[in-house]
Amino acid sequence: MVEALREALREEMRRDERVILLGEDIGVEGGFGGAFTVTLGLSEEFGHRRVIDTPISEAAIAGVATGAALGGLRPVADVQYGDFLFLAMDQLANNAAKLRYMSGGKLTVPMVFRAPVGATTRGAQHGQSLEAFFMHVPGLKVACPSNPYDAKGLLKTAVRDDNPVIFFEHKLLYGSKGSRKEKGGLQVLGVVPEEEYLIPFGQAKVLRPGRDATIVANLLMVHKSMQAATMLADDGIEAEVIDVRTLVPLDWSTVFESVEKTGKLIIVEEDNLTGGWGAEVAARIADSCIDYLDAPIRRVAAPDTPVPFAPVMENFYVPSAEKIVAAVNAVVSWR
Amino acid sequence: MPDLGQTVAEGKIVRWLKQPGDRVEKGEPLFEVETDKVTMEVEAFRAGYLHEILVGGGEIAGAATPIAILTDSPNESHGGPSSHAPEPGFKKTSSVTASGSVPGVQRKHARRRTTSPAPERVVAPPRSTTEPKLTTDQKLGMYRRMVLCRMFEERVYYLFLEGRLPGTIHQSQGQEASAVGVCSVLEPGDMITSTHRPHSHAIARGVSVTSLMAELFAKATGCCRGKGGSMHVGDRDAGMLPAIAIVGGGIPLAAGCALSFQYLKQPNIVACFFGEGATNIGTFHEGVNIAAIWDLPVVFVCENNRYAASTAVEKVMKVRRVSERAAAYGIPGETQDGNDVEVVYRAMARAAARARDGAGPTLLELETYRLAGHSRSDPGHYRAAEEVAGWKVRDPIAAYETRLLAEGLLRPKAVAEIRSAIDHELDEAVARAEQGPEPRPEDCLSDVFSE
Ligand SMILES: Cc1ncc(C[n+]2csc(CCOP(=O)(O)OP(=O)(O)O)c2C)c(N)n1
Ligand SMILES: [Mg+2]
Repeated sequence: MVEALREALREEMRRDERVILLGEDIGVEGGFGGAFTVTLGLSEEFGHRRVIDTPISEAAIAGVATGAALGGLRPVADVQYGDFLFLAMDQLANNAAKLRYMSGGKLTVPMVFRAPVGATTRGAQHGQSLEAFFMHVPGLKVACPSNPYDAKGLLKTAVRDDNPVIFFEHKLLYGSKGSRKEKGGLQVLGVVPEEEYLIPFGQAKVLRPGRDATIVANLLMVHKSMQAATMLADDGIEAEVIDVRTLVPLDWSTVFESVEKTGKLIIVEEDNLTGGWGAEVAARIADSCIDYLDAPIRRVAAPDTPVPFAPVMENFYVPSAEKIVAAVNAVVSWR
Repeated sequence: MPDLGQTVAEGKIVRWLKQPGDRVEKGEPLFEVETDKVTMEVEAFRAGYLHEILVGGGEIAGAATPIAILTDSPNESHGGPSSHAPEPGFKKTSSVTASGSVPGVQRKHARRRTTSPAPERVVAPPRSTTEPKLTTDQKLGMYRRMVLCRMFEERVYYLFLEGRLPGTIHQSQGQEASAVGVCSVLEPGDMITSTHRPHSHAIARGVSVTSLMAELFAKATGCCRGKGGSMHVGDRDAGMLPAIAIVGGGIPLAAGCALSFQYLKQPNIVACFFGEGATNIGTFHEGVNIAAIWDLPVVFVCENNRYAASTAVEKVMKVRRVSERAAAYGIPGETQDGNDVEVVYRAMARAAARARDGAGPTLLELETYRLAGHSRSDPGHYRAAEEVAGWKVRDPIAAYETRLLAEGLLRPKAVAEIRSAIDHELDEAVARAEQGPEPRPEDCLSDVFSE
C-alpha cells in the first residue's frame, strides 16, 4: 500500500503544481520518506520546494496546510502517527473544518491530512484508531482505505477534493516490504493499475456477497472480517462483507440495502467501543432499517481501554476473526 | 434597565446621578447599579432630559424594564415611543455565556489586583532614509479611517446596550492606530488574519462597513452571510480571512497563507494580528518558528494592550517585552508606540518591505491599550483608575487630531465634517443592516462542504 500511496502522490504532484507535501522527516536526503516511507523519493523528483520538511510542530503543520489551502495550494500534510492529530486538533477542527462555513461559503480548504492508525505493539500513544473524532466534526471528510487499489484511488480523489480530508492509513496495511517493515503486517496484494483512476468518496464496496448477515468494517478490520466470513462459510453461514472505504461521506444506501436483505448487522472497528463510528452506523440502522432487523445489532470493537503494549494484551484488544465469527453466530442464531 | 449581560437578570439601582429635569448627554453616567456580579455606573445611550424616575434608588428592576423616562425637550410630557428611555427594544436574551457582566459602565469600586507601571515610552529606532514619506492625503486618510473605527465601535456599543445585536463583542476603542497604521501599508492581494477583537482590523483593511454591520446584526447580507458573527468577520476579497477566535489560532494559518504567496511567487504578504496574551500559547511558537525558518512573507503584529481578558501581562510573561521573544526565532523584533499611527506605519513599512524582499518575518510589538472592556460589558475592575486615565490621555485619535491640526493639515471645520459624514455612513449601514434579510433557518445547513 505504501507504493500505491506514493504513486498517488507522485501522479497528483505531476498533474498539479499546486500540490505540495508537508510533514516531519518526509523529504530528508538519506532519511525515511516519512514515518512509513510513503514519501520516499518524492523530494528527489519534486525538490524541497514541494516536499517540505517541517519542525515537530503538529499544530503548525495543520495550520500551515490550512492557510496554504486558503491561499490556493493543495497541501497534503501528514503526522507520523495518528495519535499526534490531537496536537493538531484545534487547527483541524476549529480552522480547517469551519473556515468555509464561517465565511458564508466564500472560502474553500482543499487539503489532505494523512494519519497512520492502528495498534502495532507500540502501546497507548502510537496505536490508536481515531476515525470517530473526525467523523464527528462537520466540514471534514474521512477516508480509510483497506487495500492498495483503494488507497491510490481514494488519495487521488482526496487531493482533488475542495474540502479538508483526513486520510487514515492502517500501519499493518502499508505492506511488509522494505526497511520499515511492520511486524505482523499484512501483505495485502491486489493489482494497482499504473494508469489514472479515481475512486469517488461515499461508495462502499461489497467485498463478498452473502444472505445471512451483513458485516460492515474499515481498514484492517475489513481483512479480519473477510477471514471471519471464510470461517463462517465452512459452517454454511454466508456473511456479506462491506468495506465502507470512506466514513464521511458514508455510503448509507449500500449498507441499508444489505441490511434489508440479511436482517442482521455486525459492525467491526478497531476503535474503542464507546462512541466509535460503529455506534453511528448502529444508530442509523436502528433509525432507518428497524423493520428489517431480525436480531440486535452487534459491534465488535476494541474495549474501552488505551491500547496496551504487551502482545498478548494487544491481541486481546484488537478485534479478531474469532470474535467476529462469534458475533455473527450470535445474531444468526438469535431467538 | 439595560441588558446587563447575558447572565444577569436584574439589578438594584444604588442611586441616580441625575435628577428629574436634568439634561443628560449620550454616554454620560446616569445611575449606579448593583448586580450579583458588579457595581457600576450606567451610561445614557441617548441624549435628552430626565423627565421622570420610575425606579428609585434602593429599588430593584429587571433587565429590559422601564426605569425612567427621557424626553427630547425639558418640559415635554412623554407621549410618543421615542421619548421613552428604555424603549428601543431592550431584550433579555435567554442564551447564557460565561462573559456575563455589565454594559455601559464606568469603572467603580474596583478591586485593584494589579498595579501596572505607567505607559512606557518606547524609543523608535532612527528613521531610515529610504522610509516612505506620508503624504497629506495619506495622513488624512489614516485619521479618517481611525475615526471610522472608533465611531463604528461606539455605534456598535450602543446597539448592544440597546439589545439590538445578538451575541457578544470584543471592542477595540483605543487600538485604532495599530490597526490603521499596519493596514495602511498593505497592498491589494495582501492578507490579514485577526482575532476575537477584529472590528478595527476589518475596517482598517477595507472590509465594507455595511457588510460588517450586517454581520453583527446576523443578517444574510453580512460579510459572512450571518454564519460568522462579530468574532469571525472577514472578507477574503478585501484581504481579510475570517477572524479566528481561538487565541493564537490564526498564527499558523497566517504562516500557511504566507507559504502560498511565497510558493506561487505572488508579491504579497500577510499581516497577522494577535494580542500579547497569544504569545503564551503553543501555536505562537510553532507558527512563528516555521515562518522564521522558511523566511515566509508575514509580519507578526502583536497588539500589546497589557491585558489578556483580566490578566495583566506581567503576571504571565517573564520577559519585559514581547519583542524580546523574536530572538528565540532569529527574527527581528521591535517594540513601538502602537498609539502613534505614523510610528506604526513606519515600523510596518519596514517589516513589510523585509517580508516582501524575501527576508522573512518580523515580530512587531505595538504598545497600546483598549479603552473599552475586554468583552461586551466588562467594567474592567482589574485596572487601576490612574492607569486607565494615563492611557486616555494618549488616545491615539485625539493625539493625532491635535497633531494634524497643529501642523495645519487638518482644518478644524473638517473634523466636524468628517465626523458627521461618518455618522451618516453608519446610519446608513445600520439602516441597511436592519432592513437586510435574515438568513433562512435552513441556510444553517449549507456551506459545510464545497460541492
Ligand atoms: C485558546 C483560547 N483560550 C482562551 C480563550 C478565551 N479568551 C478570549 S480573548 C482572551 C484574552 C486574549 O488576550 P490577548 O491575546 O492579549 O488579546 P486581547 O483580548 O487583549 O485583544 C481569552 C483568554 C480563547 N478565545 N481561546
Ligand atoms: Mg491583550
